Amino acid sequence: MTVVLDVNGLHRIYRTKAGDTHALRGVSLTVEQGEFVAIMGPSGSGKSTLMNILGCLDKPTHGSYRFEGADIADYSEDELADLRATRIGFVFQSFNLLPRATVLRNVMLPLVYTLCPRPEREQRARFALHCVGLEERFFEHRSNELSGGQMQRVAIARALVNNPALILADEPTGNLDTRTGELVLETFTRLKETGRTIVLITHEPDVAAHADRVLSIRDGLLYTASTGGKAGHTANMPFREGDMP
Amino acid sequence: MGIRDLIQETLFSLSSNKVRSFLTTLGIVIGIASVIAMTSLIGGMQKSFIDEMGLSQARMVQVSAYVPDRPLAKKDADALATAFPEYEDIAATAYGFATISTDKTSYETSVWGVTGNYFSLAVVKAESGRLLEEDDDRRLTRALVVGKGIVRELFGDEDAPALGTTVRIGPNAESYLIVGVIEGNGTSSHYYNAYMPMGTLQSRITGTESYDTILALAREGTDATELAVRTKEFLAQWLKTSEDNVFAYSMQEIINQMNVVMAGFSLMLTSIASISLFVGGIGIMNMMLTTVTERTREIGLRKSLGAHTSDITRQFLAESIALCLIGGFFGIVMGYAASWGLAGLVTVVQPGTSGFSPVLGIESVAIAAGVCALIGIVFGFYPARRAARLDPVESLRYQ
Repeated sequence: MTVVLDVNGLHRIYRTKAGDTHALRGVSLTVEQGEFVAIMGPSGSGKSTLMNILGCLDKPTHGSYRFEGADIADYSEDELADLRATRIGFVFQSFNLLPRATVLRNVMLPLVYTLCPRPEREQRARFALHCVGLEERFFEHRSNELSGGQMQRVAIARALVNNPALILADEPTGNLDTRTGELVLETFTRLKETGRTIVLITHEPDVAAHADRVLSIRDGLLYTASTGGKAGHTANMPFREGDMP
Repeated sequence: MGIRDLIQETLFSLSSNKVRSFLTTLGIVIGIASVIAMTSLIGGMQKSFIDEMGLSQARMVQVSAYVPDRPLAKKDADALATAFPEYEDIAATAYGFATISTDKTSYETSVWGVTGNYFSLAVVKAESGRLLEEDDDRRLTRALVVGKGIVRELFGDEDAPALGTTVRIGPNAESYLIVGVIEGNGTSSHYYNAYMPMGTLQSRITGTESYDTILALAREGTDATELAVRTKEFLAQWLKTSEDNVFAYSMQEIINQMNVVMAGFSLMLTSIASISLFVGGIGIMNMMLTTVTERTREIGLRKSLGAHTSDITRQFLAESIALCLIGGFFGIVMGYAASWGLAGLVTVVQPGTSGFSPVLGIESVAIAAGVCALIGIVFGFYPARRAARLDPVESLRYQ
């Protein structure tokens, strides 16, 4: 198996006037192609910091991060941007769609920042939307006319459209009700089955349970929670929400 | 990000906020409109002035002299012609006061005597009948050419059939035949003039051989202004008088002076308009800063999707330039329309004048567009830079 992510001894220290905040204290993680990994932790655990570094939006203070074998420490800001444009797809809690733009336009947006030729863009956007199971009659709708579940599927299609090596999802079901959230998670499971690599960040054990491998993060350190887990294994987790001080 | 994507994104985001975009550009619209209105009015005035004078008039040198007991005369005109082969042709005018009368009415006016070549030199056209010719001057005919103002004074209406009518002029009330009426309405300088052959005027009205003004037409390609200076020097020597008593103006000089006045006028109005443009630019900057704040999350999203810092800068800079250019476009259209309105107003306020058409040169349009683009760059730069420097992590979290 090809290794997509290889993180070693990652530290991230935020230096502020009020003092240093040690958000990550030596995180190591390897994700292989085709894996569906959930990183679970409460707010303040450092999971957002980890997500930002994995997504190449932020650089570690210490430690190495190799993305598809290349050390991103040497990358310039523009090179990181190119990496995000071509190799990484983001899914956010609040969807972050352009409200007045149509569904197709939203999905095509990342391709504007790649070398993808214009005629090919719509074709790829339609394909991505089919992959997430959005019906064709919604394609020309403005994104603010959709339901929450539909919006999140459009956002997943947007993450897919540049055929990325890694899909990073940050609390993708956080703004959805349980049933709709379940549908979105099924979409991730289906993508995983077609060979996509997914790293999902959540604070809900039920959500994390959809992944092959669950890691928990607490106080800037990563722990293995369970592997090959489905719902029911959550009992083995070292903590639950609410356990935290 | 390709240029087509940039244009598409720009138009998309501006059209999503039509009312605000429109209000923001008003300052630019007004500033550009006033500059364009003024530019086309001045352009129109200059053109109508030059058109009325005729093209050859720029080459005309007007000569006069005031030496006691030594008025200008034919020998002086001949001397000029000999001394300056640069002159293509030389004509002369003189005038005397006389009463022109018909059976019913009489009108006291100055009557001009002109040499036979005067009308062709001064580019005067007859509306009806003919103008005076060399032959009239030679044979001392009692032929009279009048402007339409004279026709009105004598016959009650400027379009009355005056041609072929006999009028009486001078102390002996000798009869003269109206052989021609000069075209042109109240703005024409010939409107209230009556012309007879130079010799006729000299022998029957003034009783002297003197000229009042000598008109000399410089050959094409010669510098009339410089020629006027040399003519003045020559004439002062020839008349054995000081240069203060001799006058030689080229029309080019008068046109130049008018251009200087017009340029000063437009400079003044441009500086007033530029205040409006400056305020408009600040409006653009204000709106762009608001837009950047409002779209912080979008900027974070775009960066996470792989937008370079330069892509974000270009996107917001393009928006501010596009706003200014759109404002400039409407400003040019409105300014040009306003200049027609103002030109029309001149004819209303001053009846009898022929009015003029505003002239808007392509270079004025190009300069206006360039100024708009520049305002867009200058006032859009800071907001665009601010947008581009936003941290993607922070901006994605922005509420």
